[in-house]
Amino acid sequence: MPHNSEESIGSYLKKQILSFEVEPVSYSYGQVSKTGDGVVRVAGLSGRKYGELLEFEDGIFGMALDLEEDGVGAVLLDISDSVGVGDKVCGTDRVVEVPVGDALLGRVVDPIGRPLDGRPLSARKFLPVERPAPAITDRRPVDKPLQTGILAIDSMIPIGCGQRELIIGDRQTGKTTIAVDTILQQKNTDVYCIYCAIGQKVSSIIGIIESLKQNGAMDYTTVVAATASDSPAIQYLAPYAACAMAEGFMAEGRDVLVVYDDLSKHAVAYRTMSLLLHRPPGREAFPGDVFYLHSRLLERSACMSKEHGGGSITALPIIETMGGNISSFIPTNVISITDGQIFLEDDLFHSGIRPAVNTGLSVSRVGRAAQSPAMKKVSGSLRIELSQYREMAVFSRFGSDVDEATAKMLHRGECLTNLFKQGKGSPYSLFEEVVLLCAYKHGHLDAFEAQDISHVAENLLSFVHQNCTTAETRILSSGKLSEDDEKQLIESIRSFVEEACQDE
Amino acid sequence: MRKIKITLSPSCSDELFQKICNGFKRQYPEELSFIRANDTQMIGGFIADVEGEIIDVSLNAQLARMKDHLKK
Repeated sequence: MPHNSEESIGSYLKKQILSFEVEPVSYSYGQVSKTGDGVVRVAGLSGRKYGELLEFEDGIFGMALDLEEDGVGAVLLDISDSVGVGDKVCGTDRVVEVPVGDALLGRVVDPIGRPLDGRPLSARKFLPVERPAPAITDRRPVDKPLQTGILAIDSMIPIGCGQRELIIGDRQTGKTTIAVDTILQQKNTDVYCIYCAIGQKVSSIIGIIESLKQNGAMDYTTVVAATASDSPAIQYLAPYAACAMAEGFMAEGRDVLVVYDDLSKHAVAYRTMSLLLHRPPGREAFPGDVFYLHSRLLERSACMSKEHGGGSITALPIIETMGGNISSFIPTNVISITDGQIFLEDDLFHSGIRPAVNTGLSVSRVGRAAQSPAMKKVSGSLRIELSQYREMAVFSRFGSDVDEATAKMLHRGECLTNLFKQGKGSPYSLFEEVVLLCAYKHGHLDAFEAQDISHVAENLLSFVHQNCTTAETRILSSGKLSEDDEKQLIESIRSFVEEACQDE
Repeated sequence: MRKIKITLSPSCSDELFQKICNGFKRQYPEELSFIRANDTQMIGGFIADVEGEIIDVSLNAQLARMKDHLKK
């Protein structure tokens, strides 16, 4: 493009115009034969692709989902009363795409990439929302830990980069809190986060965005929002759009965390769409491919090999159960797809144990491969001890006398249970988790009453932060707990306990 | 019988319309019936609606294509 004189600009334009070839513009169109509830039947318009974007009059877009010999069934991507019978519909020869790239960081967008935060969005690259999952040979095993900052999870149900870990529980049991705290924990790491809200209330989404903003997490987070008032088609697209955005980052070699909140509502939106498209209903009125709905989404989360960029997508899908029933249709589907689950119990929540993680039913199939060496060293026998405590606790409720060893086990179990209690929005760093578990493992917390453990933990951490700065730096940077650092920590913890006991 | 609707500028003559119809008769072997529609917004050329397919040779469309071409 010339920059200097009017004459050169003029000659440039003349050259462009002369090189322009006049060609007829031809395209096929169909006509709306039936419309209602966001679903449209279009007569004609053959040769379309599955998932192709269709353009209606007035600039309304829809997505082709049913391809028949004499027409197309489509869902509208916008709620609109302006589409009527007889309206012309054109194909666009492109499937639904979303913008990807760094322009998305700190933004709130809808599932077709339109900004919802009042600022324009300009992206250079777009990816289709439906993409095949990475091939087996392009992946590598999950071996890098993803810290959630939640002690119960990082110690006993560790999550790795590239893993799919389901968060499942009844309503109001802290599922979203665990996901948001995990996002907050990624501050000062290289992990980008995407929070996908599906069918949530607008007020809930705003609360989450505010929480992320207050903690400085929006700098590395994108929110994809399909609210409860959006069309079923938009809610259906939301997780795939979020995944495509994550794949854009993964292709650059980045680690990405995606939260799908929640897939139960996603399944309901898909059921709504399928029933309106007259697809035959199956179990619980869901269409026959509802398993494939989630499996093809979650299989796109992967840990890529070095030759393919080395990036990863870690998925935290959320499923809401009713009455704690994890054996119903959608929960069992997603449990069988994911690499483990974090099960949150209503009873635990209401008895004050928060996060309300049922460590007996929760599992991480990746396991210790996704744990840092420091955490492995201090968290060895926690599950067994908790399991033994739960069994013995049943007897203690009957008021029966117990021997000294059993009483000690019960006390330690109660201390551990209280140690795992954590406030909302207060994730622990790896160093803090190692300190607490080190103190527990070597019996330094046995001197305190179980109900005081949370308070003791808080004081212990501020003491150790002041006295073990070099060990803290080493542990945070390397993820390892050397013998010298462990000795230093134990000494520091011992000093703290002596001082605390003297004060009492 | 295939119906073809041809949209032209009102200033286009019947002779030009007839030439366009003859052009389509050469392209399509079956019997054709033509409907003329006038569009005052059209600068020149025509738009043919051939039962589900649009063939747009209007000057408006070409100018829009040229605009996109110059933007690139």
